[in-house]
Amino acid sequence: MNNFYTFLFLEVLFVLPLIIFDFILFLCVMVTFILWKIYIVTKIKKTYLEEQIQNNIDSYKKLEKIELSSKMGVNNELINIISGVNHEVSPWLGSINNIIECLDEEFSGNYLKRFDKQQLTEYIMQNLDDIKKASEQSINILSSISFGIKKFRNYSIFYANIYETLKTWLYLVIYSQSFKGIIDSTNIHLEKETLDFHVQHSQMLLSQILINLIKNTIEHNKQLEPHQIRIHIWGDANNKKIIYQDNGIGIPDNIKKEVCLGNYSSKDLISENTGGIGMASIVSYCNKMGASLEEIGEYGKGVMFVITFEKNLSDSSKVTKSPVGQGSGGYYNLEATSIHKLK
Amino acid sequence: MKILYLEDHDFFANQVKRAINLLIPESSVTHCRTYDEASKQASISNYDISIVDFILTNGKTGIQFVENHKSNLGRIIFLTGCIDDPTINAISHYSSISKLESFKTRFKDFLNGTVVKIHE
Repeated sequence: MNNFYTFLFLEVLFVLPLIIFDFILFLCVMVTFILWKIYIVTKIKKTYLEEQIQNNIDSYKKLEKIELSSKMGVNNELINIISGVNHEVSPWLGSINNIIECLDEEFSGNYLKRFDKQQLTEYIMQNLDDIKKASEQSINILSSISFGIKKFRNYSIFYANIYETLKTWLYLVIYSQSFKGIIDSTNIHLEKETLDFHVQHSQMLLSQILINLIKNTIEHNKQLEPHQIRIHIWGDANNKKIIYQDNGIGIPDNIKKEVCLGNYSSKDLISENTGGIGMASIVSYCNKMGASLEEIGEYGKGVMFVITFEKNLSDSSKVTKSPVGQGSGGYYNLEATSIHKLK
Repeated sequence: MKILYLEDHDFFANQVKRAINLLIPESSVTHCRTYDEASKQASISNYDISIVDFILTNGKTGIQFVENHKSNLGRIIFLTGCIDDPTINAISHYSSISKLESFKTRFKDFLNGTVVKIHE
């Protein structure tokens, strides 16, 4: 009996710690495995979500810089359409591919032997109908995208809301190749003092005017980064104006008239890169829309272009002071604090 | 062979099932249209192969489904219409086919053991 208890005691003394050690080791392995799994899942989710969040943050930062945030109703429809196109159209296009491949294999592999002539015809027609349906769906999706794009690239002249036009085009402008790498240093403010007004204009021409004005601001004021640009919409029953202002050098008085007639080339001025036809194009576009162009800024304090929509062209040699805003001499002052911010 | 197929686009899914039937006539395909439906199936059965759409309804993704039910899904392959960088990065550890590619050809490669990735 003593031997038995001795044996038992020795067993407990040596084997039990081993069992406990094995159990602890097993627990450690399980915990490590669970933690590793959690880590991998977290890492994948974090990587994916972080990139998505960062993309959204980057997009909103760009919008904030030009003070056109989504709260102000920037039209993100076009951007959403374009980003979603791949997801929407690929199943339809992929289906066409798959139908043709399967049909090919079914014919070559004699899978359709069991069909009689009529059944085979019906089967083929069904496949053709499916291809037709998938094609139509793809075309519908792509058409809606092109319609969305066309909405913002309408060449025809029509009555439209000026503010909405400019807002949409400004949003698109910052993503255009023309401003790649440059637009980040430019702050553009779009404001309106009145309710939106409608006027006959061309979205395309108006956008070109805007692009050319912004290009001129950037090209002629390279030493003044960040640039400040303010586009102000003002109108009443008799006058409807778009006022473009920047914080650049401005235009000397002696050449204002020539600039507004489109007769002055900027090649003789600071920049070497300008083609010198930007202003001529702006004047031409204004003429086409029945709008007049004036420059009434103070030299040394930036340009102030006023585009006035009238039935008849105004005499561009007549320099009139803008009735809007506050500041000396009726000029719109960049430091004015009574700007009605958009909601 | 048991295949779980998670796809909410019925028209496309029909063509994929057709292609699978040609490649593996002896297979049985369980087609689920939603995350919840697939979760239910994955919890009650093991599968040899799982074909998973990346973007699902109600804001869920195929990657979430895979990570939660990996042990029952067998070999996993993603089928997606999205080819943006975040999507490709998220599924970089798995085989994947773009919906615009030839499903039959690419899936055949996958069945043969090749690691297939969405072509750029």
